[in-house]
Amino acid sequence: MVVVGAVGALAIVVMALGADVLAPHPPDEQNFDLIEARPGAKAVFGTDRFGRDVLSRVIYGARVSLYVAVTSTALAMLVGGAFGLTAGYAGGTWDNAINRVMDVFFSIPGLLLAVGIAAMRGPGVNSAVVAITILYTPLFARVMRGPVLAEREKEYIEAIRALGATRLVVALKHLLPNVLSPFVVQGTVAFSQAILIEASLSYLGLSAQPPTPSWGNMLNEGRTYLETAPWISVFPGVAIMVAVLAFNLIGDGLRDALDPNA
Amino acid sequence: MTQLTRRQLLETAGLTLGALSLPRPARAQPARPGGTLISAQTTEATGLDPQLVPALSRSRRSPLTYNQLVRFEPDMTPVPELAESWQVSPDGLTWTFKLRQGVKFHDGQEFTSADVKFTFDRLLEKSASGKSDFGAVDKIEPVGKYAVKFVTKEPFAALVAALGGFWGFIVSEAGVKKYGDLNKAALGTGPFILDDWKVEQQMVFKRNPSYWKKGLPHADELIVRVIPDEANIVAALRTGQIHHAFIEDNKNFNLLKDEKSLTGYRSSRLGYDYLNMSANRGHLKDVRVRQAISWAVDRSQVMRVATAGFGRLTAPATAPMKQWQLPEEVWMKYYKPDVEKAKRLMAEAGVASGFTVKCMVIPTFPTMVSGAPVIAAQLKRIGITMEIENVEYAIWIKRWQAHDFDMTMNSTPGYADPDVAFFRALHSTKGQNWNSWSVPELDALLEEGRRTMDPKKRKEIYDRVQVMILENVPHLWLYSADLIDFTQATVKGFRQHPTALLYGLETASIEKA
Amino acid sequence: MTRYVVIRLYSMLLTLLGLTLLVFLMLRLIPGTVVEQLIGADAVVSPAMVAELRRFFGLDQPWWLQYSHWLSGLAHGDLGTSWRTGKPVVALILERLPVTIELTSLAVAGALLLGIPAGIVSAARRDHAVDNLTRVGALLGLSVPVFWQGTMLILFFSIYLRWMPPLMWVDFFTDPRRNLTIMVLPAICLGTASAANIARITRACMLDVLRSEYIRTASAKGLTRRLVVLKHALKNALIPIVTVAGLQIGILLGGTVVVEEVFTLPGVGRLVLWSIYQRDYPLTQSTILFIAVMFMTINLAVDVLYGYLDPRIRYSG
Repeated sequence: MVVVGAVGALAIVVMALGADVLAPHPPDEQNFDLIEARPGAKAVFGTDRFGRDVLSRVIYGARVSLYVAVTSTALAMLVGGAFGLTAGYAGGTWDNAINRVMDVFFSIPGLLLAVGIAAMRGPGVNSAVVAITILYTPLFARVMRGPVLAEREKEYIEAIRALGATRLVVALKHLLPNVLSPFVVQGTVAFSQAILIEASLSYLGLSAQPPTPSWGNMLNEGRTYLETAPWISVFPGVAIMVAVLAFNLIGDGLRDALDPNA
Repeated sequence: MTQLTRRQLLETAGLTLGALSLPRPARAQPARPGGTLISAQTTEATGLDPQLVPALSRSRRSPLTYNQLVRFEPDMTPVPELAESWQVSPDGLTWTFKLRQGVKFHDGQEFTSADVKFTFDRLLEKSASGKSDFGAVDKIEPVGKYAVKFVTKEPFAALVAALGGFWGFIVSEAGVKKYGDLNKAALGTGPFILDDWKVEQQMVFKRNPSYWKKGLPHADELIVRVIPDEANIVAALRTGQIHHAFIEDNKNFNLLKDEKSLTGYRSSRLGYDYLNMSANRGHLKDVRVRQAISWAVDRSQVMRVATAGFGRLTAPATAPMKQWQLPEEVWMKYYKPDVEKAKRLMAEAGVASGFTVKCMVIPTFPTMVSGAPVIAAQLKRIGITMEIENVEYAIWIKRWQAHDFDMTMNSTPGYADPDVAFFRALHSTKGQNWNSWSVPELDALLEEGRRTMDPKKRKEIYDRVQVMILENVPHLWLYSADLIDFTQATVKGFRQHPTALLYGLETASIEKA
Repeated sequence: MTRYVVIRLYSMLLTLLGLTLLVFLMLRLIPGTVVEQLIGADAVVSPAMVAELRRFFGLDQPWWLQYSHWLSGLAHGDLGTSWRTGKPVVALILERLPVTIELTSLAVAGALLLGIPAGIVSAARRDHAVDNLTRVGALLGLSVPVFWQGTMLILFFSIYLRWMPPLMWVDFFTDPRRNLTIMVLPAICLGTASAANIARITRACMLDVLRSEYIRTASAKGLTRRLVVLKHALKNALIPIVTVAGLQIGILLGGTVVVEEVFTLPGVGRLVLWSIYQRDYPLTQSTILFIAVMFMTINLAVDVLYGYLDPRIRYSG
């Protein structure tokens, strides 16, 4: 299963990085002799209303999806991880303050929060990044804080502290490695969900803006062509599913490997 | 125009004559079909006040509850409505309208000259947009109970067009007093009475039992539904869940035209889609650059993608403005794409290497979204990189009002009279001048056209205006998309109107199968 | 327990206060106001008129004054009046709430009815074909984008079956049959991911329990496998399952935004989106707050239920 996931994920990454080489056409090249053409020899996935090649657009669309998912998840892990680590380790007022703020962000349903933030920042790829980062930061903070709380009470940490190590060194060098695995597992799960959330935002017109192709906005554009040219929306939908499935499989595999309790 | 519409035009003429021959002889009416008529469209009205809300979503619904003094038939000839007749003084400064008697507002009060005065006083005071349609009107004076005088500052040939336009609906003083503004309520003399409004869902109208057009409307109840996704409107038409829908995405015509249970309507629209350019920005200042853009854009291709081919290229005066249209050979030659000529003009302007401009697009306007990338690809051929800026409606309006854009895709519902159509958009100082440009000769001509009462002389003036526009390219007239409506085949008597206003529902009826 | 609930309610209040500030400020950061929306595109407007409109909506006041007006209204139980519709926000929410609640409930019910049995069977027949099928199915369910699934369902039904759910919304009490035909597709879309989640968690919990000592003992005592699985194992696995299901309700509440948009249902989610685009501040603010209260109440209820089901859990402030 993990292998299948890894192959799928690799394919998506290769698509994103090698789009310029792989795609048969530039994503915004219009061909007025080939409008809304069925999938066939000239266009494997068919073409859209501008005569643009759907396959090429799906390939380029991987870029937006991965860019948003990678940056937002990484940023959220970094920021949320830092908050969670310090909150769990330092405790006291700082912990309290972070918890309070986190509670505010946890108080509305996640997707609604993401949609709200993106709508407020105005549509665009970076709005999606900001929205998902803000959505995920408290999540990662919480996932980090719990184990840190448990771990800091353990004897070895006290021993190291007694040997005169600074708090920072203790936190980064000794605490962190021991609480990292659930954090990473959560990371892969969040990553695959980020692809879905980005697609939802794109679909609502809040992420990548046309003519930049993204899977979500292709679906949105293709929606009015469902009857006459279903291929415009079928293929990007399949791409989303494959990508999310692949990273989910990897996440499952990682969980099994890192987290023996599950 | 399609066969269908022409036939309906004839029916219309008969109807108008009938309405005029007052008093009507009492004769047995065939049983009114009655029933509930359900109409659907994608956009909700932002507000209903016919004097404060400029949006087309408002204007479209206004004829359901209000009447004008004059109304334009689908062939754009003016016919009497709340006014029975009118005449203009020899100096062209005073228009006298004789009003129809015995007309009642929805609250039972009689319609009189005081209401006309109130209506236009309120319009001139409160509505900047509406006021610009009536720019030359000085004052409105009642003459007895059933006549009213419009006094103008200078001869104002476009008055009748303005009265029959988007800002000509007659409101009642009592209604405004009762509701404050008329945004959430309606109190007019029109065929239907607003009964209930659930925003973003539906408006429910009841038949006005004492409507002054005897026997109308046919339906007992009218429901105007908002269904934001047109795919659902298409499905609802097919499955018989709605009786009528106005189709915004013209390619859907293909999906429905062969359905036996439906009747399709297709005709030319008064409005058109266009590309605005700010003539005071960067390279766009140079008329040669704007001309180059005009030569580089292949309007037929833009139209094909944006309207699925259901539309037509248009002179500055669109097809329904019939008598004002230039002969096709005069304007069509400006629309034949010529990339070489465009490149030459770019070189003459010193920008042979090209430049970058930004073009605003509102993501929720399908024709803008589909038209802009085509134009971008075409401009690329002469070295112009057109970046598409997707701007949410609220922000677009703000920037549009502030003239803060290089280019923007745009569309207008159009105007019946060339004065209203061109003066406001293009006069550099007295109009809104959306393109931030200035051509003094054109300003002078526009002013002359407004003052000239003689139809023949006016026609000559506006012919010259249109050619001047085509030469100087303030904005690009891209195409005029066809108006498309569908009804169930059981619905009879529906008529399209070039303005897309819903005049046609008062005569629509559901025949029993 | 009571003490715990009181403390939670108190902290909810603090959170809500924070949320009011967050939502309020975020809304004001979006460019454009209701004034431009009202004026429209083709309009000719004098600065005086714009100023008058701004005054009318109180947009000329400093933000903290506007904020405190809103808060004091809230304190008196007044959610405010929507600018674009002129109706009280409460009325608009109550009008649309039944749709969202029904949609969410149907989705949760469906997810439980499908997810729990699937999880049980999967665990009981570990590594058999059924198990593999369920696991792959669950993963697919987690991976399919809600809106795409919705579009595909509409495509399938309207083109191949020539059927589509009625468009005119009717509530359950007016016409239950019609109401349910409208709701079935949206509920399926909304519930798919939850069903997958519940199946996965059920399977994991069941496996955990099945491995434990006492089940082995029970099996050793010669009880039939079916009895062991259903009576003993399920009972113990139920606690985490209930928790997950409870949390799903909250997640689904967020998902309704998208589903309502795809199927154009007149629910609260679409109301929020619409109000954001219309810059109808009072409507957005108060509706989001309302959703937050619902969301937090559900989460609290889940926690309380959890404590009730499992008396070993002790709550601390």
